[in-house]
Amino acid sequence: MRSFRIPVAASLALLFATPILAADDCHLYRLTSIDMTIDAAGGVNVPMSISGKDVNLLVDTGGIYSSLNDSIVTELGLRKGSLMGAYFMMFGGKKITQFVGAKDIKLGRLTANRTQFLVMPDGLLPQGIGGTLAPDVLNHYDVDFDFANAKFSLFSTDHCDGRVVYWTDDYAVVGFRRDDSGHIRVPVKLDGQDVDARIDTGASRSIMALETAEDVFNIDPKSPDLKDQGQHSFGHAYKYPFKTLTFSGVTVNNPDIMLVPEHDSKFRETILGMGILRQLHVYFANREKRMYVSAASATRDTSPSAATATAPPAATTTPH
Amino acid sequence: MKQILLICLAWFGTVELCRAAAYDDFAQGVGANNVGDSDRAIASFTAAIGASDLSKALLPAAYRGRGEAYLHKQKCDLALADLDSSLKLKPDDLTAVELHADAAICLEKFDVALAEMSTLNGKADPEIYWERARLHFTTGNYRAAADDLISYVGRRPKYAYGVLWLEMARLRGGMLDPKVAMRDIDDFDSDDWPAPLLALYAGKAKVEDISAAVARGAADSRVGRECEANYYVAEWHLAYADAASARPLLQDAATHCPPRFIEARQARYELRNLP
Repeated sequence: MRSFRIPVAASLALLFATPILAADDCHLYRLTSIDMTIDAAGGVNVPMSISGKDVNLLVDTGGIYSSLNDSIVTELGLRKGSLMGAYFMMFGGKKITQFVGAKDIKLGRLTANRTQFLVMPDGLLPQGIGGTLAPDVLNHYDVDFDFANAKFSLFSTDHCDGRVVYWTDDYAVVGFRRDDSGHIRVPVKLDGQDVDARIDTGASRSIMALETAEDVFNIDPKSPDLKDQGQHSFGHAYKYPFKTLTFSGVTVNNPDIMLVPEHDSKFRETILGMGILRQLHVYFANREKRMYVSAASATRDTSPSAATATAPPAATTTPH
Repeated sequence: MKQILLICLAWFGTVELCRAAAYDDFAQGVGANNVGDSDRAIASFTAAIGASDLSKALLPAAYRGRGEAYLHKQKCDLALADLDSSLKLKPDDLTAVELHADAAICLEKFDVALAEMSTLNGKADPEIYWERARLHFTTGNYRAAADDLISYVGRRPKYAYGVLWLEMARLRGGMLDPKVAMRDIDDFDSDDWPAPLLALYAGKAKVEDISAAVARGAADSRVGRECEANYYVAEWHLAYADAASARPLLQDAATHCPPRFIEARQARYELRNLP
């Protein structure tokens, strides 16, 4: 889901039953850990059981409300309700105007008796993906993307601040804010320049407005470095050889960022998609509003000197 | 990347430290496929698969990714082998099934492809109808092709080639109703390509009109239009059992159509079926 025109009045939040935890306990509680699969576009997919049927969902931090494809809704025999004149606008101009109530939902070890999903038109997601898991669910938990081990985990937000990174000693901490749509926005440095970017696991590639890039990086529109990439689904795209994108000490080398003219994409903001995120291990601590980030393959045994002594991985860490 | 892995093992003596290479190669492979760099995708996925310490959960996606890259390179036997490996590890991966069917089509294993495509959900992805319709057409099952094309056109009404194939399947299967065809093509601007081909199938235009329409096109679109005109006019001749007129047009399409045009492949299939 990429944008919405009118906020819906009805709450579509999916709340799972979670254990009651001691408030003064600094322990980190992993509520569930799920094997993720990677779709052909590089998206993160996790299985959710709805009324006994397994549905593969795209984890989409760039969405707003979780959704099910129309054909899955039909298969499950769910009755659709109207959003009462409100609608969500998708890329390509397709509208979402309906929602459904679903029962008996399981996400890993988490369960919910009943919740609501938007009904997404068919044909917008890759084959085999039945819907999206969006911030209406994700924002209630700490969310951990361990791409190198193909694990998607939800943790309790009840823990001591800063006590979350269990996988490595070499990480960076980035404070984030949520915009009006509930999306995570983080400050990054792109080739040394400050950029405010939205984290979107539902986007296979990262996007920046061409006009922004020309302005911030003084790119001459006639520069031979600015390569025409042809037409994409949201407009004519260009590529520029950016060298580094840094999250407060963790650096992604040669970040792939598509530059699309604003009048084509209607986007002014910068979106960090899976092309960049999959090179990282990312933990979103939602109560703290901090993102803990390391190179995807970082482990407790890896020291920064070891990382640089071998092959420099796509993402590298400097001590925090 | 293998060299890096060996250095890594020799230097530090543990596989843990080398995990970066396997996963980073996998990640680079996914990224390379996303930007259409098939050579880099093949190299990266090959390194990831060969490294042996890639997370087992990612191995099916690595084989699928390399299979997809091979398919783009038209190395269809290698693609099929990789997609077999992917599906052995994860049989319910519908994207891998779809790619496997594409590889089977490329190798002209149409029965395999048709069986696989029937397991896919056309309602969720209308392109399944489009591809399966062309498979049915290739195997001479024009009724099944028309059925799939009706489903496809219902979901992609503005795609002129869907309507063109629908009328073509109907004509080849002896099911074409000129009144219905006229109504079907009514929404398309007669000045736009491939409207002249639609008009031919609806009985509103003659073969000579097609050549004139190709000549009117801009220079940069000429090759594509000539290719399509040759193929679709040949199919029109075949519908009227005129193989002699169809053959040179199909030969031209098979030889001169840009490789990525579906008409190039279809023309080759038809040539093999000619008496």
